[in-house]
Amino acid sequence: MPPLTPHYADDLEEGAPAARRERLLLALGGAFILINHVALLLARDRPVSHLWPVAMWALCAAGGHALLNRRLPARDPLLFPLAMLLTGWGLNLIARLVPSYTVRQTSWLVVGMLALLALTALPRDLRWLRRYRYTWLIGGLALLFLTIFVGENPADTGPRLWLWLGLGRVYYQPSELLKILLVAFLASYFAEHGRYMRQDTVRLGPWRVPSPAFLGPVLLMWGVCVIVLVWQRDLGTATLFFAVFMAMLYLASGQALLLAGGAALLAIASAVAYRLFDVVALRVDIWWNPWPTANAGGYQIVQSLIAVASGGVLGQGIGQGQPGIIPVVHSDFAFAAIAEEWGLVGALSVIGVLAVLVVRGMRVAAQARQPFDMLLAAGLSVLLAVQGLLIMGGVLRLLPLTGVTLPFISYGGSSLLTSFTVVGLLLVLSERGERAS
Amino acid sequence: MNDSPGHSRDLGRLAMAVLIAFALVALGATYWGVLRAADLRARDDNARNVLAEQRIARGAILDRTGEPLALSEQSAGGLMVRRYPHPAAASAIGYYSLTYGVAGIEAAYDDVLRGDQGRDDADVLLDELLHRSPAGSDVRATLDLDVQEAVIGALEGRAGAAVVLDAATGGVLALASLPGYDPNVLDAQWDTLRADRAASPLLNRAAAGLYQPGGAFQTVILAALLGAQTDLSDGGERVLSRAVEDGSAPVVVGDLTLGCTSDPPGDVLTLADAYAYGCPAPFVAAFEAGLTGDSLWERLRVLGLLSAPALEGFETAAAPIAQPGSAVPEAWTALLAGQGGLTVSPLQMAQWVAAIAHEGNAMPPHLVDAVRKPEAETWQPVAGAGQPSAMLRAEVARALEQALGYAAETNPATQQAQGGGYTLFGHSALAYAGPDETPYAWFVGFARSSEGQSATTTVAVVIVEGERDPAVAARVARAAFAAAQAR
Repeated sequence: MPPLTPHYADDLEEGAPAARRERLLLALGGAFILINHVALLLARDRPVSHLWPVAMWALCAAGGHALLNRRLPARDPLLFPLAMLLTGWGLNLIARLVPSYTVRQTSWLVVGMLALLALTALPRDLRWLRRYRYTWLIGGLALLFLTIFVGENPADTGPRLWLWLGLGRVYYQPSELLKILLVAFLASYFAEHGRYMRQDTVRLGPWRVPSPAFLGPVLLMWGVCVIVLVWQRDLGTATLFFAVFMAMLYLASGQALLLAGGAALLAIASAVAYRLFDVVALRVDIWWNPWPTANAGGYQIVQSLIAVASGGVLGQGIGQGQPGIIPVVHSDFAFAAIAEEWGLVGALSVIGVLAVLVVRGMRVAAQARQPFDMLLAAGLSVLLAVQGLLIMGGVLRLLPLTGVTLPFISYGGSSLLTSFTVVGLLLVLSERGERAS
Repeated sequence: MNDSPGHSRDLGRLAMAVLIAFALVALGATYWGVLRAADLRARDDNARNVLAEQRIARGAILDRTGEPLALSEQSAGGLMVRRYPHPAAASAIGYYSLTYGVAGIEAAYDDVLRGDQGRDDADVLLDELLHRSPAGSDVRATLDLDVQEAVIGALEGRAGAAVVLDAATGGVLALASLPGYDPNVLDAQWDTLRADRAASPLLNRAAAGLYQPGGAFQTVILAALLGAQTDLSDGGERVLSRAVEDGSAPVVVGDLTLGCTSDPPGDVLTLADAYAYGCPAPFVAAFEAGLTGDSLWERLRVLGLLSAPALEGFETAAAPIAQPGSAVPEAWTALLAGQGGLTVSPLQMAQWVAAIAHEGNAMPPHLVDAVRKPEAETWQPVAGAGQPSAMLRAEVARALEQALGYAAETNPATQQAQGGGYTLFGHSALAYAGPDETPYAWFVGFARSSEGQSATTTVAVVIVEGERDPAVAARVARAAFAAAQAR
């Protein structure tokens, strides 16, 4: 028996318990996804060959796990399996709702996986992201502006106002990339100026608020949100940007008052948007009372609620419900489809998995040694959380409906790529935090 | 960075806020998915209900010989489609429409046909768990498709109605109403059918059509006159053989002048002659023969002519009329001539004429006699439609039968209902309705047959709209009797 190399032995010692836990979780998730897919094939009389997306998923999970063991042995063991579980669940759902999109979504899973692994190959201090923050942000904004002039909508029909960049048959949504770049930019900016933000405050009546000099980013964010809102009519992404920004500003400054101020700004912006933009006013009106227009404007949300109701506690079972009644169910209403076919149990599972994922991300932030790491981890976690909350809240009529995707689950390549990039960054940050402690 | 207590505190608060928000979403999912689930699922715009409905293997409706009248077949898309192989039976079967609901037997036995009733709880649970479409039970009607088609055919497209009953059981052998509709294309034709107020194809004339009885009311008055006699040991001979003066004299009711439906052979008539030839004079003068308004009204009540008869799944009707006061003799005259405020449905008439043929006891009319669970071989009889109601004393029934038999032999119009193999008891009459005095031809009667396995008595009530010749109604009855005899 040949002796183990010292390096390999080292890896085993350090990463083994966490790696074992990750492996177990991946296996459990894989079993869940396989059972769902088999049930789908049985319910829909599809051939066994249609199990290939599960095989691709397993390949990604195994390959990712092996490479992560080698590169990030001290990583958080929950982030990757939970993300893979939701992604696999999303594949089940796409194969069930729009089988013709399965190839695309699975391809995007591979692309997302490669992006995640590529991040682990880059220098772990993330200097490349921190140092060139203006370059990245301006690049992202430039892409976004580009969509205003040369944007396309691959869906062709429907009221979707998202703009896409078309490169051949591949479409990418720059606002997805911008999400990450904005969080990175803010993390870098606040990390550098945070000390002053905490100390250099001015008195405003009984409160202390950061000096106006540091409120510059507020105006920048305001501008970005207005651009997104005005040109793209994308209420969801604008709200998302603003919420993430406010959370990061709060972490950087420690001023709870800023949150109140931010909420007030958001309220004002909403009121103005309600007055100015018919699209926004329509969405809010429908949210407030969808019942009178249940067969017109309120159709989607009412049908969404009926789908949730049809699921009951245990659900109809995959392929056994009728979620297809809801228009564009595979992107905006994926959560309603899950509630119908997996029931309240499934819906609560998605909420729970997403919540654990976010809390683990916050834990990475808490263990971070550098302000930039802390802010980046927290910002990315909040990004996932708010995006999930916006769309799930919209589907359940807790919030006006905004066209953001349910992270990992909804159909959409750009969104999946973003979610995997977020997880990749969190994994790198968790490795750094663990190594440092 | 985590040495700073401020940061970990802020992170903790942020995480808590996020978790609270997730918890709220979880509560939202519970609210809609459990607490509000029932009323959301029941909403009209929940297409799942229609889809679920379309997957139900609804039970078949068969006629008494097992001929399918309504059945569900799987379409290419996997959904079930209701098919009616014999549209002529529509007025007896009703319809099943996803858009317009159910009527007739389809309505009365909806839960049986859908499979909601007659299945074990365990089966229901298993079906729901495995997403198996429920299969409904089959329903066997008392209807005889041959009789139904014979009646429809004999009406030759005329507007009208016919009720054919088995007097011994009350089982409906035919329930015909023309103009009708084809339940196979009901959804497509609904608006047209609804809009056609003149023809009213959706109105079931047999069960809910209210007609002037005209001369058909003479049988009712005869029953009342006979019923008023305490001693009928002579078989009603004293009443029926009583000579009536000016028996064939015309009677004027408003603008109408009513005469005999067929010319009587001589000038001297008995009451039986007047009845046989449909001469109204002695009947309009019934109060002079000892009948009172109160006793006649009580008779109408007992004979079920003042109340809507029960026929499961069908809308039935009765004239909304109160007893006229004794101070308005012209109202009574019109009533006694069958041209007053009292209108009757063919079903009401058939119900009490069946009592004549069944020793005075009317078996309640019904259309279904058994149900069969899916995959089962044997039929389970359904509880009878109810207790027989005593409408006439047996002697009165016998005396009426004699009068009807005499009429069937003597009146040339009524003779048209005669056929081989049965003994006919019948009465032909005319009635008029509306300002343009539209004529209606009536036939009421029954046929006794001793051929075949056992003696049967078939009751037929026929009305033909716009028809001045009572023989036309009698011929429809003959078609019914001939077809019923073959059963």
